[in-house]
Amino acid sequence: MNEQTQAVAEAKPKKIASSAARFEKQIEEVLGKSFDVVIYRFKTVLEEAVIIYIDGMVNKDLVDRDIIKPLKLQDFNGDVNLTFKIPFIKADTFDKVLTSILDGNAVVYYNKSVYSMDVKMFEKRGVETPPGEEVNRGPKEGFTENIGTNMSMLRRKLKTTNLIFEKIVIGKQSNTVIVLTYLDNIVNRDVLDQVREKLKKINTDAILETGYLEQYLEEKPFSLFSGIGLSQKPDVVAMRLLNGKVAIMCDGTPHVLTIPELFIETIHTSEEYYSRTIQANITRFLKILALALSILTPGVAVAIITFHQEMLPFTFLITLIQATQGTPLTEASELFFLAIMFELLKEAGLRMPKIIGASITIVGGLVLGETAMRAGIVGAPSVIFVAIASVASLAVTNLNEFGIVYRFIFLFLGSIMGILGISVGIVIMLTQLVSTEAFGIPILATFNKEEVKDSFIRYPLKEIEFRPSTVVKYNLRRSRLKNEKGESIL
Amino acid sequence: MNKYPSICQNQLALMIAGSALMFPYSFLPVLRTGPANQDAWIVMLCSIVFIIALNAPFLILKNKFLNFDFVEMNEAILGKIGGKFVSLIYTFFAFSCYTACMLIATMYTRIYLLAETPQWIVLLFVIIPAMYIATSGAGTIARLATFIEPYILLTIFVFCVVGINNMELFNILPILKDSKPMDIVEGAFFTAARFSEILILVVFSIYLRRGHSLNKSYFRSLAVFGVSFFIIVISTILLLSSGVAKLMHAPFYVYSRQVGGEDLLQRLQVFNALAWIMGTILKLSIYSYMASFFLYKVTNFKSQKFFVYPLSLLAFVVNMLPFMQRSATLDLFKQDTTYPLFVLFIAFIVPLLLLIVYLIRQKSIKPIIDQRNQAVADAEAKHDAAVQPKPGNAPKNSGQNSNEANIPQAPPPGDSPQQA
Amino acid sequence: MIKKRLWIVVMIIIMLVATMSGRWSRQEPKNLAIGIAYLYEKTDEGIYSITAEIVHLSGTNESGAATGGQSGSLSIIRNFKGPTVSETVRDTEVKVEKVFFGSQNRVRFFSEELAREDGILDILDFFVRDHIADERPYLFVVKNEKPTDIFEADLGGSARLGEHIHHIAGKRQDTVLTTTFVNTLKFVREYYCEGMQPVISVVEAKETEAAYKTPGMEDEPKKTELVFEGLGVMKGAKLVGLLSEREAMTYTLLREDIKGAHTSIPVGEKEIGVKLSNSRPKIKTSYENGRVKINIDLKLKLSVSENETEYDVSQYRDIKILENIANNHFRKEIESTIAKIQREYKSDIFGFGMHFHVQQKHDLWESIKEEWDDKYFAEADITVKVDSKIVFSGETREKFGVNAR
Repeated sequence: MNEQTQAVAEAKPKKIASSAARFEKQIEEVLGKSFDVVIYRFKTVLEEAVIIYIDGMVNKDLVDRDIIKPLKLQDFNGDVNLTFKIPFIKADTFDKVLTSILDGNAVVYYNKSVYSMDVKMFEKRGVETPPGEEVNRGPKEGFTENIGTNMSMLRRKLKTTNLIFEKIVIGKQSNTVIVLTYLDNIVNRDVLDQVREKLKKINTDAILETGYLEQYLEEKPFSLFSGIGLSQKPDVVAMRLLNGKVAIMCDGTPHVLTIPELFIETIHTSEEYYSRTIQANITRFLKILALALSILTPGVAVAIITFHQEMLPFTFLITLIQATQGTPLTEASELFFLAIMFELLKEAGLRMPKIIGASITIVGGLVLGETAMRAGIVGAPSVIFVAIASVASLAVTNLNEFGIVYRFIFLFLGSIMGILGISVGIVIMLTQLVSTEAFGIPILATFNKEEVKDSFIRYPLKEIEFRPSTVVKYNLRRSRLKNEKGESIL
Repeated sequence: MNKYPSICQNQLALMIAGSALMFPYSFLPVLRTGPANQDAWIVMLCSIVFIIALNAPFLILKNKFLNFDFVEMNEAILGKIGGKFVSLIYTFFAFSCYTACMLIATMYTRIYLLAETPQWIVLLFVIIPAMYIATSGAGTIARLATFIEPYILLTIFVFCVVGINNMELFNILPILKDSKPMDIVEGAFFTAARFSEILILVVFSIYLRRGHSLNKSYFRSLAVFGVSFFIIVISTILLLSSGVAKLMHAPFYVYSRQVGGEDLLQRLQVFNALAWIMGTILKLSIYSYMASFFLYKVTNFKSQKFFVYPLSLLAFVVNMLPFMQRSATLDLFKQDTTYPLFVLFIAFIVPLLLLIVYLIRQKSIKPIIDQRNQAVADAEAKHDAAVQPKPGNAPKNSGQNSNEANIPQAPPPGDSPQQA
Repeated sequence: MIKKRLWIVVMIIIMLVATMSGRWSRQEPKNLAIGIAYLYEKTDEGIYSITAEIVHLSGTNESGAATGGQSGSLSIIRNFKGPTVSETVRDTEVKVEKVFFGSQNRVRFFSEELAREDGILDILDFFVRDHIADERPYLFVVKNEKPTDIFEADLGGSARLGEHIHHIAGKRQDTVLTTTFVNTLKFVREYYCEGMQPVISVVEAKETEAAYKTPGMEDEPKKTELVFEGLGVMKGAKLVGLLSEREAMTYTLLREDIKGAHTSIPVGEKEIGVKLSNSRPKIKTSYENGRVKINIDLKLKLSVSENETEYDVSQYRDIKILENIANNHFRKEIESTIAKIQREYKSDIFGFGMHFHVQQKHDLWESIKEEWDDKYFAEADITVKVDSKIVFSGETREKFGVNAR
């Protein structure tokens, strides 16, 4: 018996009533206050029947044609197996009856038993490309808010008996259906058990989105990495399942969680696996360069300009002095001010409607930078450094918060302590990354010989024969494309 | 005996090599020992042989006590009290290395990078990351080493390649003519005597993964260290000539100032500074971890993390003493009569004595070793059995309306990849 | 948990207090006065007088571009005095508005008087110790009687003296035959080498015909231009003599790598212009009866670039004659220069001592190295053998115009 539904039935009678009229009364006590609940008692050939459903969640044509009509017109001596034209399940307890109704099923009381039939139909969004995960190469469909659609999309990617969907209902008021998905022969059992246990322990009002689950499941709320990944595309989630991860879907949101997420995966996109080797490696290299630039550029610039001018080339030093001669602020303050302005611009561009947003960002950036230079508040080199950092940060959107936090930390450290501060910052950042663990798995473990084939670079697909051993503990071989001598058989 | 966290042999090799490289990277003492002329590279090559010889007792001893950590090994050989006493000596040694490396780090920063900054702020900036890393555990240190050390090795290699234009082959001639053999042997001996990193091998080898060998990581680390050290010495001598390089506090940093023309690459010394600071902080954190680990195992009080804080505070106080803020102290440290002899005592003489005691008491110690090995083998077998999946493992669905067919399938026997 | 948060808060407070409380090494680049050329002299009272060229930047115009060229001068010349070099730095603090910054220094000039009498050792010690100054600046001895004249020389387009010399000296050095540019690293390296004395470059501000004169300005006083010719011979850190450009050619042929330097060889009364490439000479040393014998074997490759003579450089027999003439010419030059240096300066700038050290026994070198320059080098028997080959003759075979009409 599911304890979540107890809150729905305040004074629940445990037994189903023995007559249609009394059953109707029982239901009315609990659900009668809402006017969208349809409770209809009618006469059939043998005796009375009651049908209950929620208007707007069922397919009324089906209800009329396959449930009410046969009951009214034909009667096979009470043998419901021949009466109902659609599959049905017998509901034993009153709680199951209520859950059934709220799920969108039609419930019929006939001949002292209650039968529930799946006739769900409601308005939902069609399958679209999720914004923010657009690719040039690869499938463009994304998850929707309906969990049935999502499950079917995933099943169509992995047509195997090993794909398991486990259903958990969480949320006392919302009774949201949460689906735990994994591949039984590959998944990491430790992680799976931990996740399942934690999910079962969640006792809260409502789960409106997987974001709630993410925040309930994570171990350190204040760290930058929760070890939980997010995606809206079925092919991405399928790939992650094949790497031994666990996926959590939530009814009502297209965002699907994957646990655990390694640091290196925030840099990967699915497109890199569909492109050829050289293309994929160029993309990866550019991403890593972008990450490094976006975090380090302002900090290293301010460190060298303010503390170690002997490390600058002569012509650049002259240009720098000329550019900053009339400006009132120090180099560090200029970079700080400009970095904040660029972040504000990015945020503003995100929130605005699409068309205005794009032009505001571009115009704002140009105008702000140029005018600030003319007004003599900042110098040209500062604008360039911050622009490089901001543009680079747009190439790795997954790591946006990480990038912002560390950019300001490095800016601060570089401006107070020069190169010593930057080195200390790099060491502390790396330490934080390598010591973070999600569900017992380190998110930046060092790569052994097999894992390095799909880390910062990507070997040709024929060479990647094993799954990442950080996550997957057994059944590691993915493909067998080489014979005993090590030559490729393709 | 806690086998978690687990370290690969390559990670251990990198930790040892990187930590040992910090002396050549900073002040290249081999230029001033022995003959102190252009044959310093020959001295360096001979010192590798001496390193193996001086580290032999420790290596042999640890190979016998594979499943014991360092303090337990001492206790097994000398009994409880003797073992604790010896471990305390090593604590003192690790702490002195910690303080001495901190002295070098702050002095060099104040000489070369930030001239007017007072000692305490530089100390603070160096101690705090070292404390943070040491409290994060051995697995973090090993993983961190995998990222930092290759960068350091890359800078060494790149500087060598970029500086080839300015090098003069004549700076290493005449080979061997100016140096007496005894001088070379003496120089090699003292250079080898500075290699205290065998202690790192001994302490961290308890965390090695199954199938990863102690000896392999030691010899790999020696290979990496030898090649990098050789590159550093030979490029510095070829470019700066040994007479000029001897004069400087930090010859390799001065070398990195010269390389690069006016075209694409100039002013590469910023990479040198970055690599050197990161390597030094890692070395400091390793020694801090070792000192706190010994103290924790000897006193069995709270945890290893707890001891990091008082040790760091003590090191801060010691480094603020007036006599530690003078560069003359640095020169004292560089000489052959202070640091190498200290390390020699700790890394050679004490292990040799331990080895002798072990050989004498072999019969009575053997059962302890066998018992421990058996316990570890049992634990491993149990772990192997637990990790394999049982058939039909998937639980039933919780909730109603389960329309999906749920056929759990026994996973096929998987094969694991060949691990290096 | 609380304890951990307390620790973090305490650490953050410490860091903030520590970092906000002092300025220390922080320096804004706009507050720097960058010195790019220094001239060291000693006054009659024995005080160092340093004239420095400081970069002067006049700021930006509206669009943010540099406007240094048009408005005002690009560098300022200042003079500082002090009993030691480090005390002149103290003098800069009251004379210059901004903080003096010496890392971008390009060139160090020494007056001839200073180099001869006191040597440059003390000055070098200051710079080797300083952590900001590095080993790139070029070292020059100024031949003028009034050394500060070099700051008034016409630089022919380049803006500042330091940059001008940096560009000239930093160009390809392998085509320069009559002088060589010595930077601090080379000087210090050679100073520390046993059996070798350093050299130093020489500069002079000479009056010139108005080569850069603009029309309508004939009444302007005569301009001076910088002339880089010859070399200064040092013994230790003191200047002992100056070589002319022809004598400096000996040094560059023996010590530097030359590729394609232009020179001419006299053939009778005419001359042949050639482009010269050398390879490092083979030097054999031997020791007999208290005297050192040195054999120099120099190989040269010549390409004919201008032929004034009647010889046909495409014919093998003519080539052989020309090669013999070239061999003799170079041999005489080298021998006479070395003899002059042995006689007058007694300073082994060619590094023969270095070769002797490498080739002979260690004990022998140890016994004679103290007196190498004054006795053994000065009295050494030096024989030179030059083997030159004419490799290319340009685009044509025979001389232009010989068989025309």
